[in-house]
Amino acid sequence: MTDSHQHTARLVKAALDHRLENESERLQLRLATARQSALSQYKPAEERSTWWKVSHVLHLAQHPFAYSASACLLTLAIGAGWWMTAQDTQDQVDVDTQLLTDELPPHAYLDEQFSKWLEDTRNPS
Amino acid sequence: MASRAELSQFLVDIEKRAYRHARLAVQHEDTALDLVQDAMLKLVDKYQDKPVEELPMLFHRILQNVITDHHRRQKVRNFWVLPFSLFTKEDDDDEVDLLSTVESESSYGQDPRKMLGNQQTINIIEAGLARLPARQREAFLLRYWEEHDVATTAALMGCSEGSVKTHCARANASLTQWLSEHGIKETDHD
Repeated sequence: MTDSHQHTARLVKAALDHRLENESERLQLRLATARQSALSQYKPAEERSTWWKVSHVLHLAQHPFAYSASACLLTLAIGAGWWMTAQDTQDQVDVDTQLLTDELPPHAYLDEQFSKWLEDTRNPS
Repeated sequence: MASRAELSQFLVDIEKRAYRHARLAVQHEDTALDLVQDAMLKLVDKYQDKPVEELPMLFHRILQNVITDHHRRQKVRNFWVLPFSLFTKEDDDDEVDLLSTVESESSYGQDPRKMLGNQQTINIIEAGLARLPARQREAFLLRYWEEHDVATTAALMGCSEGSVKTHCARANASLTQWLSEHGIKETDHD
């Protein structure tokens, strides 16, 4: 660092220190008020173990992304449920259509498991 | 874990410096006070279970984030309020002209201690600091005002030591030129 830069650094430090030492009473009072306001949020350890955790969970729920993330998860769950139901229905419709149009291959009638599945789907109880 | 008394003492120790950091960043007394209070609230609310030795770094990061958030909000607000705000300088609004009280007389050649007693000189220095880019000002203040070493400054700022040196060098060069332009030149400081 050159001499002029050192001089600048010293000058700035001295100026800011001077400011600190001569802050107005009003400003100091307002800072003290801000400090007391912040410290009023302090919770002793024994209170924090229950209250603090609950408040932090609630605070997490207030995060701006919490709502959109929840909405995405809910949409995915509903979508997955709908898709699975639609798949089952579609399978049943396909088999019924093939039965009606006589398009089932002969070995389907010989398959015991297929007959049982057909019975189960028509009489779910 | 910090006790209430330790937290209180910590806040007493740093509140004036924190205010000065915020004041230089936003150029508005009430806003700076709001930002410091916001940072204090966040520290006590979220980090009261941290050990005392971690508080300075945490508080510094919180304060810088609060200041950055303020600038972002201000920028968005200006964009909607002033249709042509994109074409104006970012720091134009709400800025207090620290040089407005400076008289035309030059302080060249005076003893720095006398000069520092002079409000005008301090205003010029603060105006020079306010003109610096945020990261340069932050690095300069941490390094030369708060007298942290390069490694600590880098840790506080969340950047490399090389970046700190670069920011400090550029800030120092800008300030030296600014002071020179306003008649504050090298004199016998000791």
